[in-house]
Amino acid sequence: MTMDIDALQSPAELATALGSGGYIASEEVSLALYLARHLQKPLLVEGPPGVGKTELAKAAAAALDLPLIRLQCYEGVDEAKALYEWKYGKQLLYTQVLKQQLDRILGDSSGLAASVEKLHAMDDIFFSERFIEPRPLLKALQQEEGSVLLIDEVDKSEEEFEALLLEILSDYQVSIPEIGTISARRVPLVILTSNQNRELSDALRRRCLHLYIPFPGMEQEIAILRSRLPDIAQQLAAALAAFVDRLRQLDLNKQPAISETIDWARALLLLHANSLDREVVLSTLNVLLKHQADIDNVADQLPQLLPPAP
Amino acid sequence: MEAELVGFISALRRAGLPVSSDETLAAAESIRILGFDNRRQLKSALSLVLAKTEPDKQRFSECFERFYNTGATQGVEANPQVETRRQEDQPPQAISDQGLTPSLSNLLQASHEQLRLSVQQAGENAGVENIRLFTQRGVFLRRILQQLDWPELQQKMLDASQGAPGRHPRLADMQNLSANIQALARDYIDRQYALHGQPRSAQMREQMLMQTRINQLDPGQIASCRKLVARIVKRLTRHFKRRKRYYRRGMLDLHTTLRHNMSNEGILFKLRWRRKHRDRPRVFVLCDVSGSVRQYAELMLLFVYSLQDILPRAQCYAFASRLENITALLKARGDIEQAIATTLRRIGGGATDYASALDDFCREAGPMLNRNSVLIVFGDARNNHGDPSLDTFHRLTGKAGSTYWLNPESHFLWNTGDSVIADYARDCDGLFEASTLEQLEQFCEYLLRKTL
Repeated sequence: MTMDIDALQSPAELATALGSGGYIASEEVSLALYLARHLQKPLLVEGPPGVGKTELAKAAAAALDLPLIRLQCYEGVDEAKALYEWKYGKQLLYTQVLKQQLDRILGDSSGLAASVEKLHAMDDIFFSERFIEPRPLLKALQQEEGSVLLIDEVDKSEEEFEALLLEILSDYQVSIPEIGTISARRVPLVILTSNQNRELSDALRRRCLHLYIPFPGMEQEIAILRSRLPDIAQQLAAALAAFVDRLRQLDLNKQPAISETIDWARALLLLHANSLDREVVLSTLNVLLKHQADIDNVADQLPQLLPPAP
Repeated sequence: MEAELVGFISALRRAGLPVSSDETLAAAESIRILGFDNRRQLKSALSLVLAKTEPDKQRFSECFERFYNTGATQGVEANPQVETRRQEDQPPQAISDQGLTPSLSNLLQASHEQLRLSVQQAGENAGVENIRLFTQRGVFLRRILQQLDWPELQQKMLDASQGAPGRHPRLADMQNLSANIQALARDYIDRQYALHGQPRSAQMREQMLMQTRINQLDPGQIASCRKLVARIVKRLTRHFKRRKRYYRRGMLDLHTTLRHNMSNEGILFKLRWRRKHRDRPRVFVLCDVSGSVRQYAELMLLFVYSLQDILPRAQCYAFASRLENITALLKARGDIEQAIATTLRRIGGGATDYASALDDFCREAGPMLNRNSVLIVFGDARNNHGDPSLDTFHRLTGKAGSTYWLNPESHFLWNTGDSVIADYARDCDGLFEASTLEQLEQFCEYLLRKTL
């Protein structure tokens, strides 16, 4: 189990590499990735929905030039979906195909005990790595060049599943009863994300580095907009970011996320809007806000939220 | 570096962050990788490694600022006079250090930074990190000063000032030194108190809240109690939520297994297990909210409300002179304190009447009671010498699976005056005193252990 220390020598270089892939990383985010890589520890990312937690993993995979392996968690995700499953069909097919072989092998053994003895040897053939269907967790360990393993929305899974993750997170290995322990060929960079729907266990937290990504500041949001939509004018980007920032101060059912800001900016570009005025905002508010109550609420307060007309 | 990191981590632990040794190692490793130069980066890195929740990050940040703020730059400025004087007096030794001890004359020549280090050293020798109470600051100040030749310095200053003014060439220096040492030592002690003492005294305060009789707490303390209840409930929930799944898997379910493997020509690749269905207990709480036990009732109701996650089917009845089902009121996820206050205002007045409360309860909840229900009565069993209605109580406890009585009075007062607790207790499976938060917590834990 070895891992090269990347050519990326500092958090700043990593931030640049992420930036060239279109992900504007704050100092803390790039530091977190850098440390996770060098300490060989998983990174648990928390924050409100839509601040780019999943995007971070994708950007990291691109920046480190590693394959991204993703496990989407949901209620009921289990060993068979996350770790490995036996290829029952293949096992069955092989036993059928090899039936005659079996008859021949077992034919010359005298008595039940001898046959069973011979069958015992077969067990190991049918329960070997060749008959294992690797699921994301195992697949990530098997990558020769290493990988970025994204365990997305881990808070959606049950507590039992968290316990299952502990072995892989601390030792980068999985134990399969029939085979033994499979260790990582190269330590993957593991990123877990959570929307805090449920408190994660202390055991899981203890094994990870913990990064909290809040909504971005205005400067950062402008940078993100300009990076994602190179066509956007600086002035419009600034006005958009300021407006969204003000929205986030309001008591809304759902705060607008970064991805929604980008969608909104894209909509405004399509409409050839050069500045934010009342009509444009009113007609496109549904791109930004996803609850009718929020839309009504913001529409009422629009005069205070919009910058005064020049 | 190691010593400093270990010191910082013990400060974090005292502030309530559960830092494990593995995390300590990771912290040391990240310092090795990143170096000490960039303070902001160091803080972010340690926060990533050591603080694992949002509130923890906040606490970490406060603790970091206190620990790594050396204080030399804050508040205590080097006295400029000392510096200028030193330049004028060339060389300083030339002026006689007449009668001064070597260590005192060293102190006089020390720079501000050296002085700060001496104070820190003296503080460590004096064990200032063991400070617990605000009032101990004086003691530690004296201990530090004593190590820094304070009595001699004062004596010399006294001697010098008794002579003609300006007679002793270093009087002004000594006065500056005296002021500087005092300021530095005070500052050092304050920082140590903020770092080590405050969390400790917070722990002591919590312990006091847990063990004081609830009706002796003032409103401010009750507010702190609510926070404590939230924490206790969180712990209980975490523990018992997991417990209820323990016995889910039963024996092999042959029928389902055969059915599921039909596609494999009946070869049993996938096994199916029988699941044991366990009926969850239903808890009925009968809570006395009359004036005498009002404060207790508030916390008791808060407990019942907060345990909703693990006791979702709990039914709550409050009574003084009449009975009312307040489950819906408590469950309407709003301001729980408001809901409890409303309950207490509406029902809390009037004299306690156990007989009518039990009759009402029997009528309302009686049909719902079965061997799977747990009945909890919370009250002091003081019925103003009225009829205790023992028959009704006997009938209720007979129907319920188990019955527990919580009495908020000290057990020395049980069965005195109009208390008829002994009569009721005969029909109960358990009788507990619940006059402090600690006892309430112990009962809740006992109840969950028994029922879940």
